[in-house]
Amino acid sequence: MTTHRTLGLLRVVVGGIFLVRSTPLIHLVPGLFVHHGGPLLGWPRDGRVEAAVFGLVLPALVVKALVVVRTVAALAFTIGLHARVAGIVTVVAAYLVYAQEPFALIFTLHVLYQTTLLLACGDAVGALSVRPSPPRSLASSLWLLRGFSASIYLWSGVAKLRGEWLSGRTLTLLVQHGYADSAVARALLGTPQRAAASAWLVALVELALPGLLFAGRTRHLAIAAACAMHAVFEVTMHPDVFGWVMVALLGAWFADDPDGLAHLPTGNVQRAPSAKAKHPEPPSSRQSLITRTNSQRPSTHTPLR
Amino acid sequence: MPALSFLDGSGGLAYTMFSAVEETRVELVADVAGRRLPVAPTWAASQIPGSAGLFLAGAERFRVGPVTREWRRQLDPLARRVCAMGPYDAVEVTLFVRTVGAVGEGTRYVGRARCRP
Repeated sequence: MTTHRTLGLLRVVVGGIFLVRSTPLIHLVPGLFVHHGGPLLGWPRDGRVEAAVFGLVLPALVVKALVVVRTVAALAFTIGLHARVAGIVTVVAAYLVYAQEPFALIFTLHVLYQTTLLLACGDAVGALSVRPSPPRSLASSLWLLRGFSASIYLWSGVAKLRGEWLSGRTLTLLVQHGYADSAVARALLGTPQRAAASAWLVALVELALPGLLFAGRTRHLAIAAACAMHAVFEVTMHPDVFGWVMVALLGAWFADDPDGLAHLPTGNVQRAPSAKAKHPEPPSSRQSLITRTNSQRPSTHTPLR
Repeated sequence: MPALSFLDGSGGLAYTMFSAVEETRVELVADVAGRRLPVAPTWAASQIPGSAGLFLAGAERFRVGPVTREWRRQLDPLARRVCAMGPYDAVEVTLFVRTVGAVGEGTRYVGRARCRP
């Protein structure tokens, strides 16, 4: 699939996850964290604690308005109607609403909102859109998403480099206190030895994934390993939509280096025949990437060598 | 952003997920006409919708859960909300945080609110 279509598809998938997570659609999917109170995530109820992250307490009426704006904007983002603006509005509104629930801050929503913002700011607003926007830099949009997904694995792996985690005690406690309560969880984490082995395995896989993803030869292996890890998380810890978002982000690694320029619907994007003519041999993938990125800005086009 | 979030020691934006757990307990005390009366967190939870209610439910005793530092910064607003639950002059909310399995009350974080001017 071309980079252009891959990015568009990612926008649709992540927008869909956003809508499921923040609207009554959540009731159609078993195992997700159902909202408190109203049908829309973050809808304020009477008697709530008036607290917020950084003290950004907003009146209930404003929060309700933001929830509505967030939902409408998320729908527009998903279908590609002024998707860039819609995505940014979605995330700003979502974070303001999110800040009103300081007792329920979870990484799942943080990752979902950040992913939405990155997609909105990049060239994911072009393909599969009701109103496509012309691409500006497919390469940087794609690598931004790739870098983001890799960095999540890296940071998560670094956070696990603690004696408490590596001894398996943290996982054992999570099982004992109901955070991982399935038969699979008991099978994988039921004894201290198994918990320790699982803890090491998770930390090692998370730390290895960025390198394996960036190295072209091991990319498919890394994607398979990451998907397997998220599948195990799903059946053991049920981490809300976190696994869905991460697997969606892994989709960015399936796209080849930006090669879809020939299929773009816009007329202002040029291919780079001149660069090709200067290089009788096929350019390497990195050269190809640079050539095509530069080709979008003819005025700044420079020879590769 | 992830690196910066370690400046306060929390790593709150560094995708730490479930990598660390701790034990937490909550104590609510209300001043009524010069007397200090305990308020049961679970009863208070029944009066508060949303995530703050979940935070308080069953918090009389130590519970194990992922490390969440944001709670420590929200004790004053929580105390203000408890003010509305009775004829209290003032409310004090204490969050006890300790390493799992540790003996003693651990580290205390206190939030206060005056219920009457």
